[in-house]
Amino acid sequence: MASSAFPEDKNNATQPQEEVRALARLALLPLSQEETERIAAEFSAIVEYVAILRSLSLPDGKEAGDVAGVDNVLRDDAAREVDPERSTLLVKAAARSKNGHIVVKQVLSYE
Amino acid sequence: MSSLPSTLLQASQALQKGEVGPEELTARSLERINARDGEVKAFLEVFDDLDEQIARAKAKLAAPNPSPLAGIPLAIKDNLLWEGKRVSAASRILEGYIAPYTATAVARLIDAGAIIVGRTNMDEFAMGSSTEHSAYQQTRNPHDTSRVPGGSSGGSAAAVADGMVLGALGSDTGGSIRQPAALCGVVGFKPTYGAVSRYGLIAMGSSLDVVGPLAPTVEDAAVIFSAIVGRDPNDATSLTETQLAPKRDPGPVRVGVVREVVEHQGLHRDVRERFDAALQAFTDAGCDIVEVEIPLLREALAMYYIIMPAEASTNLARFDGVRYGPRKEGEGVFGDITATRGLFGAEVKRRILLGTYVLSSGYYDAYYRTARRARGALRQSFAQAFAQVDVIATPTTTASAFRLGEKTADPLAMYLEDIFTVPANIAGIPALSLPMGRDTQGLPLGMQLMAPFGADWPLLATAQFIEGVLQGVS
Repeated sequence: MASSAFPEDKNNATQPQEEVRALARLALLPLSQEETERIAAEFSAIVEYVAILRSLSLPDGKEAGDVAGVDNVLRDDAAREVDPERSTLLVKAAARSKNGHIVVKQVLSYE
Repeated sequence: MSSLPSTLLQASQALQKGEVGPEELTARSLERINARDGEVKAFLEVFDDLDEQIARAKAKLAAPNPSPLAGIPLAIKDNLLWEGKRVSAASRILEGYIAPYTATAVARLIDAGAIIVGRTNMDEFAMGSSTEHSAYQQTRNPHDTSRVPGGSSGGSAAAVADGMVLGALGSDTGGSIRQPAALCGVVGFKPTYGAVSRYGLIAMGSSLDVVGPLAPTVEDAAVIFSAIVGRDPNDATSLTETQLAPKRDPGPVRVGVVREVVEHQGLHRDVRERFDAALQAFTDAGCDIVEVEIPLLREALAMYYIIMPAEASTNLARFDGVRYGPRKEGEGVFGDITATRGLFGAEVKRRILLGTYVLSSGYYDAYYRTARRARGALRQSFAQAFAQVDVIATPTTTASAFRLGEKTADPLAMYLEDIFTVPANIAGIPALSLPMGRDTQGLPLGMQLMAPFGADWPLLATAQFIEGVLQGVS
């Protein structure tokens, strides 16, 4: 991605749209040309607004990803027994399934 | 047939004395929904197992010490799972999806014997402040159906405000319980982050999301909260009862007021006048009004619109047409995923792209890491302020309900709706909106009270006291 941010790109009409297309590819989102133009225009205002944080002089301190009083809890990295009924329900929720497995198109190509 | 009692507790007392039965209350709820929901459009679905639920409620009422929720008609927001029932987060991408398990908060209501009459409309994936971003229908404000009910829990707020149910569950990531509660003239309570399990809540911003009640009165909200609060092994971030401050009796407190909120240039004159009158009433009732400073409060919305989209874009990456909902055909497996994700609405796409942007290489430090540092500093600011006061009062919103379509073309204007509610989510603290009278157009206004982390019960006691004071002002 280009190093420039949206607010500084106002004089370049096509670059914000190119950035939005690049983001859409990363996020696997299909966008029409109309959506691309609209979101590119809206993004400038939104990004300009949130960019006020970049001008703050923040005290040195730890980042607050977690809320106070809540500890990170990790389970063992091991496979767990799953209730077969639950497993059936989860597979049933998928768009396509066969013999208790979720069906998708081939992921790896040999070409 | 008569309407539902005006409060949940009145209905509960009537049920427990045997003056009315669950089937009659449910029938009154359905009659109101049938009469009004064609216009209000609060419900996406009324459940078809109400006879079964009534039988369960009767058994609960017949047992010793029934919950005050036994036999009470309630509603749940469409982002809370109930096994075997449809749930869609008001999105096309989950159309036809059947929940494979039950959310803990919902399970606790069922266990209490509540009758959950249906699922309510919302902004798609809880992204919005007007319920205009639902893929299915536009909920209207029962006080003026040309106006929005607020959002994203707009269906829950409208259902309670219109007397269709006696309470509802919503979720609050940046104000989604409190803002619609204010615009619809009911009570909305966002508990401390972790006080209520998020298990079975369709995630938006995982460090911000909280499940909470909307109800006619503060006491009613407290009854629902007491049923759903508590540790859940299925949610590692859920708190134990001992991590919450103990209950106390309602009474006068030290009320903090932030000058920059009161002097906010976007604050409507009617809101300012009602707020000033309320503060005067607090003083008359024995409260101390203390001016407090909260550095970085003004920047909380900017933090929110970095952290929330970052978390939302990550959470919504799972909607790929493989495990949930419908799948659209594309070219190859990634073509399928991209085509399926085209089912997201405009606001969801916007926030996924914003989240992708702030998390992308080159911008991560400038936006996301900075927002997290600012979040830590804001949390400290709140802690310092709460050394001087018991609660901090603000208006819940800058104005009363706006007209349908008024802000849909300007996302930033919509985002600014949450300017007073977002700080509590950033800090993880409990906050509640209660009715603060009406503006000159006759539309409801709300007052927000925020309290220290874990002080949910003291906040509810204070809010109950203040509710009584404000009734004298209205």
